[in-house]
Amino acid sequence: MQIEDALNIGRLRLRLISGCCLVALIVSFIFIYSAQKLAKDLGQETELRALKNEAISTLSYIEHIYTQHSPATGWTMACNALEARGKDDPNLAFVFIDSNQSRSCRVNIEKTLGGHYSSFEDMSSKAEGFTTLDGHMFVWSSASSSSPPIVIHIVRRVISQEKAQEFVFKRLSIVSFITFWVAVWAAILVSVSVSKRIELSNKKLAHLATHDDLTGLFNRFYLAKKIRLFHKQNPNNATGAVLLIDLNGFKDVNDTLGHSAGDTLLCTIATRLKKVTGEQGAVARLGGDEFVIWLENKSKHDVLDIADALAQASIKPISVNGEIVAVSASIGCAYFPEHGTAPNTLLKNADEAMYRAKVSRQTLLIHSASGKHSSQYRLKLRSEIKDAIKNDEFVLYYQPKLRLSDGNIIGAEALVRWQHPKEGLLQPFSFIDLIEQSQNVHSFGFHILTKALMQMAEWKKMGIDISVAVNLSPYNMLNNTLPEIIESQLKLLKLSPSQLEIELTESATMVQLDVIADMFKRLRDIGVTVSIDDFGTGMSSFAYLKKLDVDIVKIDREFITDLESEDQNRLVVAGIISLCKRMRKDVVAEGVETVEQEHILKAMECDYVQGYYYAKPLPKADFLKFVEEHTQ
Amino acid sequence: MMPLKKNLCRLDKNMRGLIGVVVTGCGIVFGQQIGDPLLQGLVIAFGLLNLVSFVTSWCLVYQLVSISTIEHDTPNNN
Repeated sequence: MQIEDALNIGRLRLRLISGCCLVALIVSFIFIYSAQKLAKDLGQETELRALKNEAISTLSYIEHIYTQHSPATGWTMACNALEARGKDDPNLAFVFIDSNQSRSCRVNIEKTLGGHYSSFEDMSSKAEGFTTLDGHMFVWSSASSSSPPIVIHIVRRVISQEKAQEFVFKRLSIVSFITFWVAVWAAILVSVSVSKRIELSNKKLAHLATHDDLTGLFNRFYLAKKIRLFHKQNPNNATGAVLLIDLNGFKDVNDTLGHSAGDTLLCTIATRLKKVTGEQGAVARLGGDEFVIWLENKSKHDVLDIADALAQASIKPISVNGEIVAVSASIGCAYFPEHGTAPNTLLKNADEAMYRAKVSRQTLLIHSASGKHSSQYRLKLRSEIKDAIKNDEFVLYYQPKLRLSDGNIIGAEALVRWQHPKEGLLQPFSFIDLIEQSQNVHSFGFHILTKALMQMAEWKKMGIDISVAVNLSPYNMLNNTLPEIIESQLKLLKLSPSQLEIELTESATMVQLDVIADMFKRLRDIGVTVSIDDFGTGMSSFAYLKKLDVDIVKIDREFITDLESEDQNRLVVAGIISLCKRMRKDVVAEGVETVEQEHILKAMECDYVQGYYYAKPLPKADFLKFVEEHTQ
Repeated sequence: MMPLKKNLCRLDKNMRGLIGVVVTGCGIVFGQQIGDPLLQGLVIAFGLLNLVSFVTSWCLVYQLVSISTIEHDTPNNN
C-alpha cells in the first residue's frame, strides 16, 4: 500500500458517517413501526374488551326485562332501550334476535356500517372481531342466552383508535426526527474521532517509512520518491544533483568511544548538513555514516558551492562525551540528468565518485563516465581477489628511502600493485579496500609479507643489504600470531629482524588502540621496526606517539607538498620533526618532489626522505638498477 | 473559551438556513399538532441552532471534531 493511500482516510470517514446514518434511519423506522403497531394492538384489545362487556351487560338487561314482563312486552321494551342507546351513540349498532318469536331488532346497522351493510353477516358468524373496511375500523362482539333464547350482536365503528394512531404516529415522527438528528451528529463525532486516530497512526507510520529513526532526516525511500517525482514533473530541461557524503573517521569514533558517541556524532553532522542545505535541497541518511543531499534546479557551480559548504561543515570538531573528535567528508556528485535520471542510477554514480574521492583523499569528486570505477567493476574485482593471490598476480614495487644527511639508500617501501590479466596494472586504491572488506585480508597480508621477505633474502644474497617497509592492514594487526609468523619467516630466510619495517597508517592505529599498541610492542620485541604512516592526517593526537611506541614516524605527503610556499605546512613539519627528535624517533618525509623541499627538510634535520624527486615506486628489476646506479 | 472560527461552506450554510426556517416555523405554527411542549421546544431548538449556524457560518459539532467544509480550511495532512 502506498503512503498516500494510507493517509487518504476521507473515504473511510464518509463510509463511517453513511453507515451510522443508515443505522440511525433503520432504528428510527423500526421504532416508529413498533410503537404504532403496539398502539394499534393495545387499542384493538381495549375496544374489543369494552364492547364485549357492553354486549354482556346489554344481554343481562334484556334477560331482566324478559323475566319481569311477558315475551311480547319484553321484546318491545328491549327494542326501545336499544334504539335509545343507538341514538346516544351513532357509531354503535345492535342486532337483537329473539329465537322464540323468530324476529330480530336492528338498530343503526345501515347508519354505522354504511355501504358495508352486507359485511355484517360475515361479522356475526364469529363471536367477536376487528376489521377495517374502506379505511374505517370496526369492532364487533356477540352475547347469547338459552333461556330465554336471545342473541345480541354489537358493532362499533372505532373513531378513537384512528385518532389515537394518528396522534401516536405524529408524535413518534417528531421524536424520531429529533433522535435521527442526534444520531447523525453522534455518527459524525464518532466517525471523525475514529478517523482522526487512524489519521494520526497513519501519519506516524508514514513518518517512520520516510524518515531515518536516528537523525530524523529523510531516508532512501523518500529520496528516491522525490527524485522520481522531480523527473516526472520536469521531463525536460531540468537540472539536479545528488551529493553522496561519506564520513572519514566515523568508524574510529564508533570503535574507540562507543556506538552512542557515534550516534551523537551522526546527529550533529545531520543537523549541520540540514542547516547548510536549508531550503535548497533534501537531506537524507542512507545508513551508517552515509548521507545524501538531493538538489533541484541548481547550476553546477551552485552544486559545487553547496558541496564545499557541506564539507566545511563536516570537518568542524565535535564534542562527544567530553572528547573533541573530528571527521571529514568524502563527497561524490552525480548530476541529473547527465549522470542518470533514475534514483538508483544517480545514487550508484554518486557512490562511485564518493569512493574515488575517499581513496584519493579528496573532498569532492564528480561522477566519471569511465567504467573503471563502477560498482559492477568493483564487484568483479572483489570476486577475483582469491584467485589473484593464488595466481600470484599481486606484485611489489619498491620506492627508495634515502638518508638525508648523506643521500644513501637505507631502505625501500614495498608498494603493492595488481597485475591484472585483463585490466592491466591496477593501483592500490582500486583494490585495497576491497581486500579489507573481504575474507582474504589475512591471506593477502601474509602473501605480501612473504613476498617482501623473499625479495629481501634474494637481495641479501646479491649483497644488497637494505631494509624493506611493508604496509599491513590494521586487520592484520588483530591477528595474534603475526609476530610468530614473521619471526619464523625471518629465521627461515636468515634475515635480520631489523631489516623488516611494518607500517600502519595513523588512522588505522585508532582501531582498537590497546590491541595495536600490544602488537607493536611484540613486533619490536622480536626486533622488527614499526612505523606510523601518513602521520598528521588522521584524527589522533601526538599522545599516540608515546602510547604506540613506534620507531619511525612518516610525515604525510600533504604537508610536504607546497612546503616551499606554505608557512603553515613548514610549521607543522618542523613541529613534528622536533617532537620526534625529542622522543628519539626517526622521521621520514614522504612525497618529496623538489630540490627546495629537500633543502627545507635538511634544514629541519629530517632523517629520511622518500618521493618522486628521488625515484617513483619501481619494479624490482628497475629498483635494483637504481640502487646499483646510486651506489656507483 | 473556544474561538468561533467559520467552518461552513456556502452550500452547508444555506442548507442549514433553509432547514432552520422550515423547522422553527413548523415548531411554532404546528405547536397544537405536535401536542407536547417538550417536543415542541426541541423542534424549535433544533431549528434555531441551524439558524445560528446559518448566521455565523459556524457549527459547534464541526469545531469539536476539528472538521470544516470550507475547502482551504481543511486540516493539512502534510
